[in-house]
Amino acid sequence: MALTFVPGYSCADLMKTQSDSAAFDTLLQALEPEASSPHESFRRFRARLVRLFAWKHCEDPEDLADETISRLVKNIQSGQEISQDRPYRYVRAIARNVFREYLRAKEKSGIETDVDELPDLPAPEETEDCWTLCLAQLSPDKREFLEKYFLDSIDREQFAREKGLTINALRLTVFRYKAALRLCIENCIMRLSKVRN
Amino acid sequence: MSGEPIQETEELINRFLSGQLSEEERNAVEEHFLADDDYFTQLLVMEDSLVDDYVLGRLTDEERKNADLLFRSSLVEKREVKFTEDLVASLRRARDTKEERQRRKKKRTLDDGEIVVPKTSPWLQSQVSLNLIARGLRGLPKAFSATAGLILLLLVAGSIYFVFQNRRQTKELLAQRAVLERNVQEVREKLSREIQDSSELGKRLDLENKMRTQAEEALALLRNREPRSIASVVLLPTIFERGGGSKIVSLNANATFLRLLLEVPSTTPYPTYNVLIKTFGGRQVWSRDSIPASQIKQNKLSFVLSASFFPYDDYRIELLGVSENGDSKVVADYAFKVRK
Repeated sequence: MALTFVPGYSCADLMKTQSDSAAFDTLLQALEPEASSPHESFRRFRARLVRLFAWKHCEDPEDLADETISRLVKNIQSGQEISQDRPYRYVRAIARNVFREYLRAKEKSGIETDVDELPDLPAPEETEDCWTLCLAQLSPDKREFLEKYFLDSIDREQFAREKGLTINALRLTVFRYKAALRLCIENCIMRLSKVRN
Repeated sequence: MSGEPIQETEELINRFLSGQLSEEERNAVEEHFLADDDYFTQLLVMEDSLVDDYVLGRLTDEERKNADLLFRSSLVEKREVKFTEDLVASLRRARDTKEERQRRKKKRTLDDGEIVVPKTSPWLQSQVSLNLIARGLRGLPKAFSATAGLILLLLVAGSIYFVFQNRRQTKELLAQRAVLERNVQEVREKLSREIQDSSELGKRLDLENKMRTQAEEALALLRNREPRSIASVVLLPTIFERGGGSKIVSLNANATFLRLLLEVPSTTPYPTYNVLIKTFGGRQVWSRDSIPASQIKQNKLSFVLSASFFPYDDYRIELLGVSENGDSKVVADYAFKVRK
């Protein structure tokens, strides 16, 4: 098994032959029909797998997601046919095996991993500057919305009523604002660290 | 996401996230979110809301216990919590700065309001008083004229005294007024200095706006690229042959980190391990000693290194097992190539 997941490439780039690549792209298309490109399909597909393992309380869900994708690619390379009707059922079966092996290995090692001790990416020194920059880029009404939501001890349902939203629409709005901020922060950190280096 | 999750779905998702579903229910939810984009988004939204409540301390003891289990179980969840904590801290910082600015502005307004200038002249007030007294005396009967004359004389003397007193007070008031005017002048000068400072601040703000615009342009360019910046590679033990067999790692310009996952043979476990990364030309790139065996998960040892360590070249990795008495032995060798 030999895979490299490189930003800017889809997993299909790693296939040995044109036909393998086409088979994987077709599978991705079936898995993520709403994605705009194979690269986007791959990103979304991997994100789902990462969450699958995170919600199963695995310490390193990204590692297990990559392992699942590796096995999927290997199966395609070995010529296995995958039903296009319910492809996620097939993916989930592979993920379940990966999870079982993970549990067995964990039980065998007898070591309870403390997540605080796991290595994490270093917190870049640019983070605080980027937060200031990205919050400043928000429109005043969005910033005020987030301030009120996070800083004022206002009841969430009352806040939703004030804004003329249902509680679920309120959650979705906050989720979207946070997603936009996350993207801004990631890009800002990347850009500033390049400038400093 | 389209539509609103019905109450039942919301409850199911909450129970899923807090680990309270039966195996069968859990399987159904997993299958559902893998196949349904909207449902997956609903799960992410509900989880995000749970993170908010967790960070803001709005959970009951039991809810917090369940959330602890979820948010402290993986690096992915830990990052979600950290992001929201950073967001709250940054919002608080921004609000504090804004409030401090408003307090300063309010204080300046109050200082200006304390200056009060007298409106009516005391001399004029005395004249009006005398006229009123004279008019009253003219209305008295003749029998009282002598007495009235005496009283009038006394009143005139008193009035003269009051007039002088008033003049003295007027002088004092004028002096006070001059002092107040001086104060007003000083406050005005102070204000004009602050306005000048504000204009300098405005210039700085303009400059920062320009920088922000540039940043936005750069961000817009970057948005078209892949936001993740970690390239991962899984390496198996190998027999060295320069060229054939080595894995090729493609590092594009976005890759900031390289994550190496070394598959460790499970034949002879050691309490600690040493790792050494070199080029085939012999240049040492990176090393780490005394890595505890507990870091090996699923027979894999994982490192996240800066991609800048790895220019275009061929690399070899030596994994040494260190026994309790300190003897080390090569456990496995790995090889990979970096192509940019």
